[in-house]
Order: sequence, then structure tokens, then C-alpha cells
Amino acid sequence: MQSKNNPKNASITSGKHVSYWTDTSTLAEKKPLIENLTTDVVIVGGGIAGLSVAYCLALSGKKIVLVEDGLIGSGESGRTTAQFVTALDDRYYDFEKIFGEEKTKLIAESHRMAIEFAEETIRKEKIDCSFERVKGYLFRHPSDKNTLEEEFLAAQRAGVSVELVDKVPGILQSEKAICFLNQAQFHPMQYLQGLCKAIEEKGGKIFTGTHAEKIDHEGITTTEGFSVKAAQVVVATNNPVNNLFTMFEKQYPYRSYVIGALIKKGVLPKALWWDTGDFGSDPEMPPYHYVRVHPYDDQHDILISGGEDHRTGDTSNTQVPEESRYNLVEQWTRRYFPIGEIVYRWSGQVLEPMDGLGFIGRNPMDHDNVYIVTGDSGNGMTHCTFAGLLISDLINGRENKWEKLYKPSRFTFKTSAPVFKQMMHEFLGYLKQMPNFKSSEILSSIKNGEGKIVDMLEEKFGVYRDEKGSLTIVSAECSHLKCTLAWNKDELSWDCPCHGSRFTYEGKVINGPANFDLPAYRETEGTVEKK
Amino acid sequence: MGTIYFAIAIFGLTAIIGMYLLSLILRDKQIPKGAAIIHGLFAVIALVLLIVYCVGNEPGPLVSIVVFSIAALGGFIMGYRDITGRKVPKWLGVVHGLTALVGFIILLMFAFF
Repeated sequence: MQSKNNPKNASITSGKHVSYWTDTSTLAEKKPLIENLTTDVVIVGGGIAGLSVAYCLALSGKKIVLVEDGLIGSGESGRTTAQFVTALDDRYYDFEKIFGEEKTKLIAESHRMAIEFAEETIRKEKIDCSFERVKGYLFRHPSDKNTLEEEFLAAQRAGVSVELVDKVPGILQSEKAICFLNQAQFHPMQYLQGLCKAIEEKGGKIFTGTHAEKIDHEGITTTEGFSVKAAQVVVATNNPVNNLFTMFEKQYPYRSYVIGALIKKGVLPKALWWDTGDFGSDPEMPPYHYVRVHPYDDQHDILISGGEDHRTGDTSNTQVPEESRYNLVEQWTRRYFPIGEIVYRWSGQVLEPMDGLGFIGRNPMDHDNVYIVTGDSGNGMTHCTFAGLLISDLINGRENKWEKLYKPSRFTFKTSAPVFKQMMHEFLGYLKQMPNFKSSEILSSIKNGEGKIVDMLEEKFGVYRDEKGSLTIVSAECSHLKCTLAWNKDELSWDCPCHGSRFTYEGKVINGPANFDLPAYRETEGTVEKK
Repeated sequence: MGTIYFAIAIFGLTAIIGMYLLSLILRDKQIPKGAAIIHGLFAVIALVLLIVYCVGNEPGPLVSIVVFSIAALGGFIMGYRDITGRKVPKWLGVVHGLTALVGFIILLMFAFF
């Protein structure tokens, strides 16, 4: 089955490319909210975070309404590689330095609990999502001097089940590795659909194609003017769309690239593989590669491999543009695995928190009944499942030993350097917004398939001409905090390098923290006017 | 008095950028943040110079400082509204500019009369 590479795919997923998961799912029709409702809890976001929270709350007897502006899993949950792990994105030895040994044990325990909860949910609700327990192998990237020993000992101290192995099963090059026991993998879209069914069976209501335009402590109001009044509000939109300032200095958006390659059935064991990351590319946050295998057809499995991360809207770290990053992933993958034809390509976005740990809990500087789930790093599936447990406890007034550890209002001074770097990054971005009194482009010079920021009439516009020659013009200012957007030629989107907001080439918002579409314009007699 | 003259010069530059930004507000155009930041930074620097002068000299341009501070508050409100996606009211832009102008005239009177 081939990826449906069609720009209109933005209606079912947040980019031009369609992931293997979305391609192999039956997508339900949109079911918008068309009446005012009152409920116990309203949840914004129909990905794994929102659905996990909804499921846990429904289990506890709460009345739930969930709204999602696209389809279930049309955001980052559908673009994951779907691993449940205790082998975390950030190393356990780093967590020990930041949080201490006792809290690192808590971090490990929270992820282990999340996997167990997901497994139990799948069994209890009879969700057919190819869930299976597997081992995961962390091996050294060539640029890594030797962090494995340190990580092994730290993981052991944290209570993670690990072993040192001399050889990694399945890979072409012989490598020592840490084997993480009891990891898991699954089909995320099937899991999400199973969760939806379970939530609705417990009385929860789920509405898709429903955009929450206004979100506050009383509930939400949709673009169409319908309201959901609720005693508790949870925003689980990957990047919170109800938070203007307090989170965005503490987490940073990165894009990651995934290929799906055919591999002969049975050649590889069922496992997860990760390298320790390219310290040459970024010593502070080395982008790593991650691999899994999933059944494809009678003769093949599909090997899903990802990596080559870069800051959203900024590929200057290696000067390799977005659309060429798949080649780098392929080159790395072929070095280690006997793959065949590449049948899928897609990219996703993660938020790297300042201290490596996600943010789950009360929205900072907001009413006590408003909660957020964000900062998933590369462990979104596990982290968001855990969010269901934690948020449910908080809303139900139950004591939870992880509350302080994960609270979004925390500020970890030991890792505050990225915060100032982020502020400088934004400041310099704003400073570059200078008036250009001479239009540098005329619209007719933009070629088919080209997208760029254009200075015209003392303003900046995002302009894209599709393959058929049709021109789309939008404002080049992000609707979150007005940073200048960057063109993502790979996914045909406008991406904000400040905080990770993304928009289709037509200006429709597809990633927070922006919550509004970009103003659109039309070309008239050599100039532009607002639509 | 050198400090005062320097402050006047910086306020002058601030005003030139400010007049351009006001023209954008009045024409419902995007506000280039770089220009707005420089405008604000110049204004703050000039205001700080006036305050520094006051610390070491009497009398100081206190009225001018107060008026500029009010203008700065207006500027901050406009900047906040702009980056958070709200329209900057034209009247606020005009009042901000006029307030700053009044502060400037008072400062000129202090410096030269």
C-alpha cells in the first residue's frame, strides 16, 4: 500500500505525507458538536493524551465530552512510531543529575505503570491493535564516546529492567547494547479507535471536526458558537492552545522524520532499536534514531525507522532541508538493517521540555480546574498514557505521588540555559522583522511547487503556488505570537520556528500553540487583498 | 546637560520610527516587530538617561519623565495586543504618539528655556 501523498491530506493528518498508521486505518466521518452541552469534564484534543485522559475519567464515573478539530489521531498521535517504553528519550544519568536518584526512580515507575495500564486496557476493552511486549536495544551511535555503561547503571538504579548484551539481535553491525526488557509496540490508530469505543460505551461523548475557539475555566466555545460548560477543563492538544506564555520558554519544538521500508518477513525479531544519538550534530540534545517492525503483508514486514531531528522551521544545524532528511534516515537505516523498498515517508513533531520531563497537571497561572498535557519529548505514547492516570487522580481529588514531579508550573534551574537560549531565539526572530519598502518579489515569479515568504506592500506574506499553478497567499505572521513563519517544503506547511505552530499552505492551523487560522489573501491586479 | 541633549537625540530617532509604525497602524498593516522593538528600546534608553540625569542634578525633567512613562505604558499595551493577535486601536496609537510628543516638547522646554 502506498502513501497517499496528496496536499489535501491535511484534512486527515497534519501534513502532506500520510503515515502508515493513518493509511491502514478506517477513518470515521467527522461528527461535529451541534448543540450546547454541560458536563463534568471537557477535553480538547483527540490524540492519545486526550483519549487516555477521557478513558481514565470515564472509568472513574465522570461525564466526559471530548472535542477534536480534525479526526481522531489526525495530529501527532497518528504520526508517531508507536512505542511504549521505559527507555526514555533523555538518559537516566541525565535525569539523576537533574532530579536526583529518588525522583528518577519515580520517573521510571511512571512509564512502567503507563505501559502496564495500556496493556490492561487493551486486554479489558478487547482492543485489536497489534499490541505486543518486546525487548528494546539501545546501542552506541558512532559519535558517542561511551555513554552506555553510565546509562546502564543509572537505569538499574532507577529500577528499570535492563541487561547488557554483547550483540544486538537483527542489526548488521555487531554492537554492544543495553537491552530494555518489557517494552511494547502497537498500532496507534487502532488503539485510539478502541479507546474511543470504550469511552463512548461508558457514556462519554466525542466530537470531531469541532474546533474549540475559546477555552477557559468555564469550558469551551466552538467556532460555530456551541458551548460545552464543564467543571474541569483538560487541554491535550500536544502543544497547549490555551497558554500564551508560561509554557513556551520551557519546551522546544523539533521535527523528526520517519521512513517505512519493506523487509522480508521473519528476518528481524520483534524488537525496538535506538541509537544513542548524534553528538556531533547536537551535543546537548543529540538527535537519535529509533526503529521498530510491524507486519505488512504475507511476505514482508514493514521496518519503521526515524530520526534526523531538527528544530522546527530551522534546518541550519546540518543545512539539510526537510525534504532531504528522509535520505539521511534511509542511509542510517541501511547501515544497520537489510531493508528493501521505501514505501512510506512522513514527519512528526515533538516538544522537548527544558529538563527532559513532560508537563502534566494544572495550567500555570490559570484557574485550578484547567489542566494541560504537553512536553512529550520522544515518548509521547507512554507519557500521554500516564497523563490519563495522573490527570484523573488530580480531577478526582486523589493523592498522586507524581503530581509535583510533572507539574507544568515547575522551573528547573539546573537546566535553565535553554530557556534563555529560547528567549534569545525569539528576540532575534522578532528583530529580523524589519520593514522592506521595496517589494522583493512579484507573485508571477513564484514557480509551480514553490513556497516562500514574500515581502510585498510593507508586509510579509506566505505564498505557495501548487503544481497546477494555483496561488495561495496567507499572512506570514504566526497567529500565536506573530513570529515569522518558515516554509516546510516537505509537508507543504507553514511552520513557526518560535514555538512549533503549524498551518497548512492554505493557512488552516494544524498544530498548536496557535489556535487560529492565518488570514488569507487573494491576488488582484498585481497586488493582494484580504479574502 | 549633555545627557539631556543625548536623550533628546534618541527620542528624536524614536519618534521617526514611531511615526512610521503609527502609519502602519492607521493603514491596518502588520507591525514589523524588529522596528517596534528598536523603537521601544530607544525610548527606554532615553527615559533611563533622563532618570540618570535627575539623580545627579536638580532640577530634573520630572514632568517629562512622567509623561514619557505614560506614553511607554501605552506602547507596552499596544505591543502586547499586537503579538497576542488583537487589533491595535488606531486611537491608542494616536494617543501614544501625542503623549510622547507632549513629553518631548516639555523636555525641549526644559533643555533650552
